[in-house]
Amino acid sequence: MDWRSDSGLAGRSVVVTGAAGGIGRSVARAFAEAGSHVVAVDVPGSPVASVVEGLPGGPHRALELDLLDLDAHAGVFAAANELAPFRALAHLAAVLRRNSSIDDVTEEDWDAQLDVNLKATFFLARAASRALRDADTPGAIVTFSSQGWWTGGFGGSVVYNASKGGVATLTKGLARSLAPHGIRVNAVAPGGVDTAMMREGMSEEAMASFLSMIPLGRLARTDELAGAVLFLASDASSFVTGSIINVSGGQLMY
Amino acid sequence: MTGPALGAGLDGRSVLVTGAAGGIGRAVAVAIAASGARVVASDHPAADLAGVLAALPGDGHRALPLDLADPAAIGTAVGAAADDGFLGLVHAGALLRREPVAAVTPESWDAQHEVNLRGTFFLVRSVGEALEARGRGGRIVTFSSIAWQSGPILGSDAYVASKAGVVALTRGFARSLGPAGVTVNCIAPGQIDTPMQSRGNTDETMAATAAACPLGRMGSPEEVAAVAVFLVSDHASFVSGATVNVSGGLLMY
Repeated sequence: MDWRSDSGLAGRSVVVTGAAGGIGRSVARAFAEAGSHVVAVDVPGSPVASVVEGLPGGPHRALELDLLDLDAHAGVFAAANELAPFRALAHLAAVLRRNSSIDDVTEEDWDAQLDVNLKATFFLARAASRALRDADTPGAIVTFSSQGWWTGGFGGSVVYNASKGGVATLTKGLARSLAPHGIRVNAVAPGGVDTAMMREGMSEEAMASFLSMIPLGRLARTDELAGAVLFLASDASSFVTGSIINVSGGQLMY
Repeated sequence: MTGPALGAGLDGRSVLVTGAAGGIGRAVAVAIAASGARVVASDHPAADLAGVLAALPGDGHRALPLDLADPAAIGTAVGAAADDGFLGLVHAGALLRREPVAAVTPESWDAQHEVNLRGTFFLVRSVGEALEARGRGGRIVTFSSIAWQSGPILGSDAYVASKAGVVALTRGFARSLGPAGVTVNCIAPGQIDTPMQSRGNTDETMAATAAACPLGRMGSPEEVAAVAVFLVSDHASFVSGATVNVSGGLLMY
């Protein structure tokens, strides 16, 4: 065994969804620094092209794609295989709509979050696994849950966190189904991460109160999530599957 | 970003590894040494630590015989281990006596709990104090067992009760040491191919357990060591209070 975080990743292609977001950019960069060819995916109109422009190594590719277009999923992994043999999916893309009261949640709010966060996750992960199975090669799928899979969420994110609970369950089921093919499936459950989305609408007092619940006393930098993704995508985690990795600075403990 | 080394941040530091003469501990010591850190290899005084040191890449490694059942010796040992570059602890040392429930004596119970639970408390507390005094943060990794979640099987009741306690201790220390920048996490291995795993188990039982796991095999000590290296590295700088399930999917959590 070699003790490298790029073990199994160098010279292979990876797909990163939500790549134009704060965490997604760090994940794409971490993979590129590990020698992977990155297919960066985010919604049409997003600055995903700018994500790959700054990456070392390559070639990489940016794809503007609505993940609700399930028929397009297979093409994402075909694009990855054009760069290098596909190795791993890191699926970060998600929709969060905060409703301060559950009475404000509309059916459209429900569908918008569940369709992207849960339904598209299943079909995208299945498409990733098909690309790996067709090539008869082992690989890894890394999903993103949330601390809310455990707590149910605070601050108007009940629906979002129901979808993220579904992602945790889906991760386990896919891990069981895909293990015979040498495909590992694990989830990262981030706590508070220092992103624009996190700080938006948060007063200094609210932030201080939030930080007081975290033993490490701070938010995560986005690259601190990338470390966990790289670990789960690489051979360093070769006996880890069906696990949910808690990256919360101790805010929750499990 | 922290570069391609799994052990980013370990270069030039020192790490205390207990159970270093055992299956998993030995692999952890090798992995940490390969990442550029000095290993303080600890195990029971009767263990062959010279053999462990001889297998470590790099230099500056030391042997530290320690009976974890002796709380007074633990404090002294940590004092000797904690040099200027001290990064922390990977605590793989443990005692398992596999025996039917009806055969567990108070002596057997105490022997396992003195090492596994009491020893862990005093060891982690001492290491935590040493790290707090240095003011550079640090890393502590404890070991539980998959059975902390599933409950004991195959005559490991007293052992597993102690290992469930280790999960609780890990969380408590993660909370108390967090403000000093010290992360504290636990690894819960499933079936790993070590002498401890096979002790008192039949070949049939071992094969059935391996087959029941989704990956369909036992894990290797090196695969567990890789998780330990991740947890002590810069890559895991925001992971604390976590219990990492390394079971090939035998359990999922």
